[in-house]
Amino acid sequence: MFDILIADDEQLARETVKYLLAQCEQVGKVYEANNGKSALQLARLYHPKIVLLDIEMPIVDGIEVAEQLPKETSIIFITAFNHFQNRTHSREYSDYLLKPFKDEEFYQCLHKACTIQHRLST
Amino acid sequence: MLNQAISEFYTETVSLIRANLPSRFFVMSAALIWLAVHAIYAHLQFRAFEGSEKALGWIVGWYELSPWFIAYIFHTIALYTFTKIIESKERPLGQRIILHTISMGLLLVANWLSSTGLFFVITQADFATFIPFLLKMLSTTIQLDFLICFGLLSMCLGLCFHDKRIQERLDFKNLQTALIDEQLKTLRTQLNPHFLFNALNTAVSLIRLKRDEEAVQALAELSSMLRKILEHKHDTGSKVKEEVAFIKNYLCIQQMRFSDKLDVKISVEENCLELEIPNMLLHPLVENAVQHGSQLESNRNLVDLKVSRNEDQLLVKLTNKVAENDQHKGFGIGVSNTKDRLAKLYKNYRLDLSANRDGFFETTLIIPISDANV
Repeated sequence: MFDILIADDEQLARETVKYLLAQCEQVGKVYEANNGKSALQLARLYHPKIVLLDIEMPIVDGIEVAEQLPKETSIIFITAFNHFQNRTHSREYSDYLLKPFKDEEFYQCLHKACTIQHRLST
Repeated sequence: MLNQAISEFYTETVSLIRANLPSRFFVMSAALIWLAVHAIYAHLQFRAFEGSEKALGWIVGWYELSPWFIAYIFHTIALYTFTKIIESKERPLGQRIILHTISMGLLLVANWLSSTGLFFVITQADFATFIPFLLKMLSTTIQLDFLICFGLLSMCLGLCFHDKRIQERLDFKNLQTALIDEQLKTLRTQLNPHFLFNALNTAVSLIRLKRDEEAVQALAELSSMLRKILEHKHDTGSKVKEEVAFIKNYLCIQQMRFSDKLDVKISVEENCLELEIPNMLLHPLVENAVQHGSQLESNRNLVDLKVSRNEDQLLVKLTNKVAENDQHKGFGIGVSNTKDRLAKLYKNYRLDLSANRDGFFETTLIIPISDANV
């Protein structure tokens, strides 16, 4: 079971991701942030293993949040437009999802992140 | 006074000549061609007089003939420069013929004087016999010189027209690129691709969450926006009521996305609804306001749009909240496109974007109603 942090300024997007996560057995606690600053605060407090990050967020954007997260945290960037795609490749454990995405695409990304986290924890 | 006029004329002439000098390739080609002709001519003369009393060595013959061919190298370069200067402006045919004749005549005289002078220098002849020698020489070569001059002029004219055609093609290509850029700009003004994907994602999210009615509404609003863009993409003008309807569609979708963050208030005076304004003029301003509003930490940020009329002016006032440390530095491509369009369409307009007290941002647009070029 892995704790997960969702950071997205769109309420509807957070609700959707929560809904999709609720149907996955490997998911532990789910934390929610509606901007980059709260995302970093929550990450420091609860150390989630997987972070689902929207790129365009107020105050601190997703890319900046990712730079400040521990390098062993798996990050799944979620964006509507792929001009950020190249910038997200610098991290080892990162993936990206283009909005709107299919359920399978979401679960594939999540499963990959869970496998990595499982490997890291053993 | 006279000195100043002379110096001005001199500077202008020098800059005109400099601007029309032929390329290095042309100069090299002219020199090589004339040197080749020079060598062939020297060889023919050497063969013709071989064994006779007048026979000279090949090198001596070549050396003594060189003034005429060197003069022709410069003659060709100067003639091309003059032809370019004459052809660079639109002139009536008669004027062009006169100017070409004058330039050809002047260059021919200069050619005769300089080549004969150079011949006198290299052969150390007595300059007292200059004029009789020149006249005697002209009596045998004048027809040939004229023929060569006409030949050179035709070639220079041909090259000038060829250059002009290439320039025209280049200009046309640049114009086409500019046109495509302009169309792309318009398209970007109309619908931000980022927004389109976000809107589709909103509909997908609502379906996932089984909020079917809202999903239907989101798709219907998006369809209305796409219909307006696709059906009116070639229109330059649009009615205020159509523009406001598009903005309402847009804000409705944005409210679905940022339900906890966005409050919308729109008021449009009745007498403005039927007015014609440039297509998609207001939307980028609203989009800019929403982007600033969505960057806020606080909830329920108001985006207030007021459209009113003051005699022959249309007043649009947009107020929205902005964060103190707003991440959206400057304005988006949409606002700069709107500024460009306004500058092209109106002589008198006002577009102010300014931060107000209490963290509010105000956008004011005033455009004339009567003399809109739409």
